[in-house]
Amino acid sequence: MNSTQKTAWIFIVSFLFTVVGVVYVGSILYFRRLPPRPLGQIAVAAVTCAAVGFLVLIVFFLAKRQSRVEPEADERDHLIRGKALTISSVCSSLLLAVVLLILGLTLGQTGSIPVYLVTLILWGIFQVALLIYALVVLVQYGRGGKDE
Amino acid sequence: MNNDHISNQIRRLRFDHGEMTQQELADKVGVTRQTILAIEAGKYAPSLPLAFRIARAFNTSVENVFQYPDGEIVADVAKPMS
Repeated sequence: MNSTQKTAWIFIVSFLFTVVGVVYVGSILYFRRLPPRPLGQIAVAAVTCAAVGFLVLIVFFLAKRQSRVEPEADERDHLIRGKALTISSVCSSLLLAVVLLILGLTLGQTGSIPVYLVTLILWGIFQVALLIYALVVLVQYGRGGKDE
Repeated sequence: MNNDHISNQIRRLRFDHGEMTQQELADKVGVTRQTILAIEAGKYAPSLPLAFRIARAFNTSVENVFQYPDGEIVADVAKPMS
């Protein structure tokens, strides 16, 4: 696995962490109360440990190379990254347009939303863009294969 | 990344050169192993500089490594001027 593929996997794992975090915080806000004490504490501890472990693993994961002279990226990696960046940019732009359209249609001309919601929307779209980028990168690399 | 029907002899050449691994060839030409794998499988057509570097790694010419099928040249280009 080269560095571009590793980065893509890191984006996917961080997206999953984000989803777990959003579901947890969202459920607290939605139900307007904290989860039962042992469950809530265990969940927070587990997610925190997993996140810290993930950060530690990233360092070793990225540092480990296939060989001592392996380049950070070659011509094919640049092509794959460029295509993935284009696709994720287009998809995130379309997603933003759809979200703005839905907000405009549901809230009307004079409607308003809280400021924090705007931040969350933009952050969410950024996360989706990273996920799409990672998926496009991994799809383009295919399954890899073993040395022959 | 269209391979444009370019075939190659990299796999054979690797074995002819002391069963060189894909990683060893990748290190010699300055790319990742995944790129050598993709070129060898015909999924990726390398740039001209990389094609030359691969040929030099085997001490041979580009034509001995990569083959482009005959009869696919645009007819107008090959037409003699009257």
